[in-house]
Amino acid sequence: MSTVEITANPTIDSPTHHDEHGHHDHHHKQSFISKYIFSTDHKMISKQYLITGIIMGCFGMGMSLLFRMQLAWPDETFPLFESLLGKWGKGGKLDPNYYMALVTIHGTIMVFYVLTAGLSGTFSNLLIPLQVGARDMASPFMNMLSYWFFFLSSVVLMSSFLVETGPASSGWTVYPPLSALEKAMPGSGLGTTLWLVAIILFIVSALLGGINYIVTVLNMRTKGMSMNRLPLTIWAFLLTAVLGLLSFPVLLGAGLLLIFDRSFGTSFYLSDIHLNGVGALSNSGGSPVLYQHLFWFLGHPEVYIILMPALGISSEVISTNARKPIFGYTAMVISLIGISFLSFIVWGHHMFITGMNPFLGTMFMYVTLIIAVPSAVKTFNYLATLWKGNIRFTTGMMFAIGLVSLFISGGLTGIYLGNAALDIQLHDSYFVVAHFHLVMGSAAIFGMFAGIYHWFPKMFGKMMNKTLGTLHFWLTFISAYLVFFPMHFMGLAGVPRRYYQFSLIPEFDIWMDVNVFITVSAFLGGVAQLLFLYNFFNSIFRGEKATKNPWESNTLEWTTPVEHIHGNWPGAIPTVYRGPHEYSRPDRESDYFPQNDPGNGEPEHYHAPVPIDTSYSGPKEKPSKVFFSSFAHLFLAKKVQA
Amino acid sequence: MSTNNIQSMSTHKNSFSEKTFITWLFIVASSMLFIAFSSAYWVHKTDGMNNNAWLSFDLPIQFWISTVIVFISSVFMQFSFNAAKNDNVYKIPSLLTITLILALSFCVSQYLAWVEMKDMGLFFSNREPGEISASFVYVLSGVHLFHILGGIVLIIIALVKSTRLEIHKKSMVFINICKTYWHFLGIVWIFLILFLYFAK
Repeated sequence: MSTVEITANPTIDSPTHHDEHGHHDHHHKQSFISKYIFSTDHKMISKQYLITGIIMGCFGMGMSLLFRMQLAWPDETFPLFESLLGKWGKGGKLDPNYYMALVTIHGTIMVFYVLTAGLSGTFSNLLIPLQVGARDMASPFMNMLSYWFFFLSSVVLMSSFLVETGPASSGWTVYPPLSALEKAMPGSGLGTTLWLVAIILFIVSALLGGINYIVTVLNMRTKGMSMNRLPLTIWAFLLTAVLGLLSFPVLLGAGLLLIFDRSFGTSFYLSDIHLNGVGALSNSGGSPVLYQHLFWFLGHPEVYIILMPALGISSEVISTNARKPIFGYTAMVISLIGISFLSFIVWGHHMFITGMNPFLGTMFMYVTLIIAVPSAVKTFNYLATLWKGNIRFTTGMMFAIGLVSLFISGGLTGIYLGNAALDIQLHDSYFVVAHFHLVMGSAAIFGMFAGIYHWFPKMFGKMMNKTLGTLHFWLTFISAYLVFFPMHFMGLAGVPRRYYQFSLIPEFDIWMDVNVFITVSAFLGGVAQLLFLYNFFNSIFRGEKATKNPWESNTLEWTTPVEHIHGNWPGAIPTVYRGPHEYSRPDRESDYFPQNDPGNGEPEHYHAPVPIDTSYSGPKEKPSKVFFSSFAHLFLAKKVQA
Repeated sequence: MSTNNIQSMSTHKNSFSEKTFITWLFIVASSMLFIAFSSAYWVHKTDGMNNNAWLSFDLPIQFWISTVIVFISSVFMQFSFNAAKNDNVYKIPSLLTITLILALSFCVSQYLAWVEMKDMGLFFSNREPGEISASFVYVLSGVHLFHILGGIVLIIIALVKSTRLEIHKKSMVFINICKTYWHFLGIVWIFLILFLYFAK
């Protein structure tokens, strides 16, 4: 790569309101409310996102433990159920409707609230301005609105636990007709209404945030920060925001039509339904498959909205801690773009068994399998970056390597599920549960942990405890595999997902021991997260003070002072001279080369000198003679005269 | 403030402003919403299961009147923008007022179109399978009208700004956002009416 200066626009310092204060080192008095609550500072908003995400994560994980208890010991009674859930756990038995509600809200929380807002919201907010060299987001006010819409959405979703009929319970995909008919099941009433309101608020939040991320990355980079010098985290956040911008409005459309069906008597998704005790409904002419098309047009890009920030974070963490340039920077960027593009044309692989035209299914199958190519490019580049690296096993690094492991083992089963024919057997089985929990659930949460451990010093100015971190990593890593790996075998045997109780069905009863094993492993994972929570909150207050650049990293965020200030840099914003991954250069004494270091005239990228033997210059002949005699050599087997 | 900052701020004014960029990204997002609804319409119409039942009906006359109104309002929005560009600051409020009146009459016209549809016996909720086409017309025009309400808020803010002489040759960002968004809404409406006409 040449050292072309592509400074796309002259916007060096953005004239956000921070600049109006002039002196950034002055601390102006802020009230508690404007500093901690309605803050417009991207670093504070990022902490708000993170802590809200962690709280929602605790709810999500807690719910999974509750329904795992039901699956492992369906005939036991647990007083815990009654004390926690009241009438839904009467006599210590979990109500089947409530089991469905727990599964639904667990999925919704994990997908949207933890791994979309908690992951992308936290790290896009923290890292985009800091790594591209901007004083704040393009619109700090919109950024604040984005967080508060998210917060409101979380409150609305959780409040559905307080309504008499319970929360939405038709699965995180809320397929009609279960979700469209208020009388279909208890959770289809007010619970589903609250779910839909929460998701619409969430979409507003995601769009406000995403628009901000795109504008900030494209318009507000510091001098010298050309696109080919952006850290891979920023590339991942940028493409994630683009995916969100294009796909979330479609979910909004799907949700609006569903609301009209529920409350305004239309029949977009409903047709010819006889409801027990109510008789035939007046709805006619609709198609529930239409909802699935609209939902999965968001739903599949959503998977990459979850995963890509995690991949970007692990690129950065792995390169820094392997003390090596990331292997194939351009290939990493192109594979991210490839995944983003493909994510929009594969949604049909969630719908192979809806009666779709087999020709269409085949097309969806091909494009799905093509995703293996950019994914493999990323995987091999991670491994090649680690290869012969001077690896520092920080906690963040261990989680990033864990992501690579989970991404491989979860991704491979995607190739099975992407086959339209195999999917007839595997659809809606535990094989699917195993696949997506490994490849997008665990992998993305590992990316999030990698990010938390790596950037904790930047967020809170303290270090997290490494011993607890290591213990947290190993317990989480082991329990993730123990929980999700056996599910592959259950799925292959045809055990369906979302069932309340297997002990009544003889062919699934044989899996009871495995279910107990999975549940015990899940509790192991839960204990590990308690260690994390203790470590996280304890380190905020009592952690060891962080230095300015604890990981000896190249990127710009480590040039800002440890104490957060409004506007990020006390003086001028640093200028960027090179890419983010210049580690272990032989022409440098220190093993890292910060992006803002002008250096002593070193080239942008180090190229090993190629030894040239000047003593031998080869035979000299006229080109025409060489051309014709070459045929003579070929056909007449003429000996080469050296 | 350092001189470096002042310089960069002055160059910044001429570049593609962040607020304009945000407007364009918002336009991309809402385009996706309309694409989603019109795709749903198309899928429904061509779905083999419902093909026979699909009800085709002529669009209410009021929708065509709306089209003319939205077109003229876009022209006046452009006039306001041009007036600002040429620094004819005293012309802007009157031109924006005309745009605003046209925008409000677009809303009235849409309402009258719905009344007309109701009189034709086409309701938002359907009783016959084929009448889902009518539900779609309500949804498409309703979501567009919701966007128009946002546009009207923008026009009112621009009007207030213009009476305070805050819109002029050197301060074009807001009127530019208004113009871009309003033209977008006009184009969306013309797309919708043509789509509903040809795909009825």
